[in-house]
Amino acid sequence: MADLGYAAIITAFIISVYCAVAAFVGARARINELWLSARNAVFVTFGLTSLASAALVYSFFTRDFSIAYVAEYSSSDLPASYTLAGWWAGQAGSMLFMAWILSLLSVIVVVQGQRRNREMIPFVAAVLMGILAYFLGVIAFASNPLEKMPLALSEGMGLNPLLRTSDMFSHPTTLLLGFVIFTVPFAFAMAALISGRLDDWWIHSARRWTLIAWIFLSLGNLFGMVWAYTVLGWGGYWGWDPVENAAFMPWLAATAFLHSVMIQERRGMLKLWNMVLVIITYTLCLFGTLLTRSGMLSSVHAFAMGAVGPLLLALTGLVLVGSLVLLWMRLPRLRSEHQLDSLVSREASFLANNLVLLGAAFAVFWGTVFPILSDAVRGVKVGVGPPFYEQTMAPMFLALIVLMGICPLIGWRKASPENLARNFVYPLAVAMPLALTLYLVGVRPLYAVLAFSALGFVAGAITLEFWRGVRARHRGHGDSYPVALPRLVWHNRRRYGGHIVHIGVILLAMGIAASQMFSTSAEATVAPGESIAVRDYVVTFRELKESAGSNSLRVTAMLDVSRGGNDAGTLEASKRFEGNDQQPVTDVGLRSRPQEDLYVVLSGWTDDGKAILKVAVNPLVMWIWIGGGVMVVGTLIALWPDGRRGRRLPVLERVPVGELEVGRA
Amino acid sequence: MRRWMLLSATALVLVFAAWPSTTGADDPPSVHEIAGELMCQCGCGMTVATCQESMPCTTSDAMVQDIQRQIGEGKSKQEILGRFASIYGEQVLALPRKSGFSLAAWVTPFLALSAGAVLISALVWFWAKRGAAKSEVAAAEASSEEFRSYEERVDQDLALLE
Repeated sequence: MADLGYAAIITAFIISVYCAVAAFVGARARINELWLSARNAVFVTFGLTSLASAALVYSFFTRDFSIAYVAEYSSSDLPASYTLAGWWAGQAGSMLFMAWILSLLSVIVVVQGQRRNREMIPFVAAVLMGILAYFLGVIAFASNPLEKMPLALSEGMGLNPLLRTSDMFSHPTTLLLGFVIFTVPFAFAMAALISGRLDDWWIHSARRWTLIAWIFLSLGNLFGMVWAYTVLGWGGYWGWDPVENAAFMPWLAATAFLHSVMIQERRGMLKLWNMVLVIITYTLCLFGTLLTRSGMLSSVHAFAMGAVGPLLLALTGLVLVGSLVLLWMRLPRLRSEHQLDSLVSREASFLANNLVLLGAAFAVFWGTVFPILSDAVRGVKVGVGPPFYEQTMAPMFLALIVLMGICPLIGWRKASPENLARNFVYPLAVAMPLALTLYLVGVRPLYAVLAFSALGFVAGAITLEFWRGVRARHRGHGDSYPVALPRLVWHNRRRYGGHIVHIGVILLAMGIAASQMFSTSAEATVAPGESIAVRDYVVTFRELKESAGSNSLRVTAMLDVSRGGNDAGTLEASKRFEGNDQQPVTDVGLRSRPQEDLYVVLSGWTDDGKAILKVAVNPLVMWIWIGGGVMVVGTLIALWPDGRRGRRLPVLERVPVGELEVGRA
Repeated sequence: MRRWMLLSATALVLVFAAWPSTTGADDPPSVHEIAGELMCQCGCGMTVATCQESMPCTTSDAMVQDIQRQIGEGKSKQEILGRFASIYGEQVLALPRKSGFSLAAWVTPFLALSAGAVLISALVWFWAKRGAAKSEVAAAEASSEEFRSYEERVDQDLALLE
């Protein structure tokens, strides 16, 4: 089966190279048959990568320990559910997983291309298959997950205990999906540059695909935060680890693109800038893939250093330089149809938002690569840890929150003083008394007051937007207020979906700000019957319990909790030792409520039965997860196809494959 | 409403101007505070504080014990951080130094952001000025066009009268 799978990888590599060349030549030279052949090659490549993936999964389930990758990431006693996760648990398998997703996306793009952008799809397919060919080449010649060992092992090493959690199905998969899906908007942008058709055709598809990638990347980051918070026991949800940074940077750049693309759609401006943002986003995705796989930086996520690193570095360089050269060649044709009329306009405020988002992405990038830079320049490796990011990012995030409130309040083109006064008065009427109240009730430090009053300002601005829309529907359509709200959202999905995303960001930012600034913790070694008090919680250690399974041991601290003198139930905080190397994994004891989390980590124990416990009270953490969920719901609403627009457009007849025409640039 | 808002804004400015410092300079440092500013040298990429909380690690344990000992000796936070830097090098510090080459870590993001802000402001100002000039020319052209059409209509009406 492994031989069959490897043959499929090699064949898929050859066919994808052919497909990229045939699609490009077919499109340029208007050779329809060549494009049709390339189109079929897309389907064949998907079939072959599926076959290779199936071979790997089959090898995992049949415990074929003659394959090095299977032996490294599974064992006979590994439950079936985690056996599947072995596919993407290691470097070689995750590369195949990414290649399989990319081949699937190529099929979707080509099938969709029968109805939309028919003339341009060959160029898009050429770019997608070119990138897929590179990945398949790396898999085939440098990182083969189906590589056999000279001698089969009798037993595998097993999956890392840290990865034996349900999060293994949510966090890496969504993150990898996000990274790979960003290839599609990049391919659309490159198709526009290669073909020379630089009108808005590519923007609509690129925006939609960027939103899909953005959802997955957001989910990937959120699932990672939940994992870190509940299982890894990092004591927090975000550690500014280089690989976390790698997933965060493209998210910031894509967020900038999703905002600036509105200006191109509405006013035909920022064509060049949008191209640059798509290129930056995709380059950062490749950089993230490189960071995880090159071993160039210390990280709990990183795979071992190997031949893949230089190859991915070459791909990142190739993509960046190639796309910038193309951009340079098409520069004269990327002029805006209109220009900005005023500094006080929504367009200008969106540009400011773009600036801060990219500034934040750059700050994260700079902090991530600075140790390497310092090593190269001075020969001294400098540490750049979480406090650096917290100090540099805090003012930028604060500015972003304020801009999130300001942007919708300013009119397009040029805002009049009356417009500004009318729109700003209510949000400010929320923010300023809130700031004063927070100060008077004793909230410190200054950043906390600024952050929460800024969030109040944004909440005021969004409420005003909803109120005006609902009132207009009530007056114009006679809808009652409760009916007007869902109808308003449904009939303006893109606009109000965006506002709902912003509500999610407010909730998320509120949770982050509160838990970062007002978290309280205590650590102590306690004997049975002794307690640790944090705020109005008292956690009493009852006993340590040991439970042994097959090849695993769990030590659990049984805890009684009281709050304000009242019984608040029990908690269990444990450490389990699993796998051949008995690596410890933390399971946090968590009592989660909307106002705060009681968070208990069993750090260790002594021979005489005492437990070393860390007890923390983290305010408003639940709102981070709720905010993340609201963000995803808002994005789905904004993404939902507009039926009315579909009805307005002329219905395209389904063209038989043989009659597909390919356009010339 | 505006007067009320102006009063609130003034009050806010006064409050922020008189904002009290949250920590005293003479407060003894806590173990957690210092462990949060040191990178664990076990290769995990986390701070000593985070590493110690999340996994058994002899390196972070030893570093925490060293921090406790130095606090016991009455050393300040900067002295303790300096001592660790002299043992492990600058890579042990979670915050790059604000001097020499490491200053670039702090300054560059904000310089880039400021340069971007200046560039965007200049561009928008330039575009807005050019746009205003264009609309003046367009208005002038429109008015002369309008004047010509009126003249033509007057000529036509006079011709009809004749």
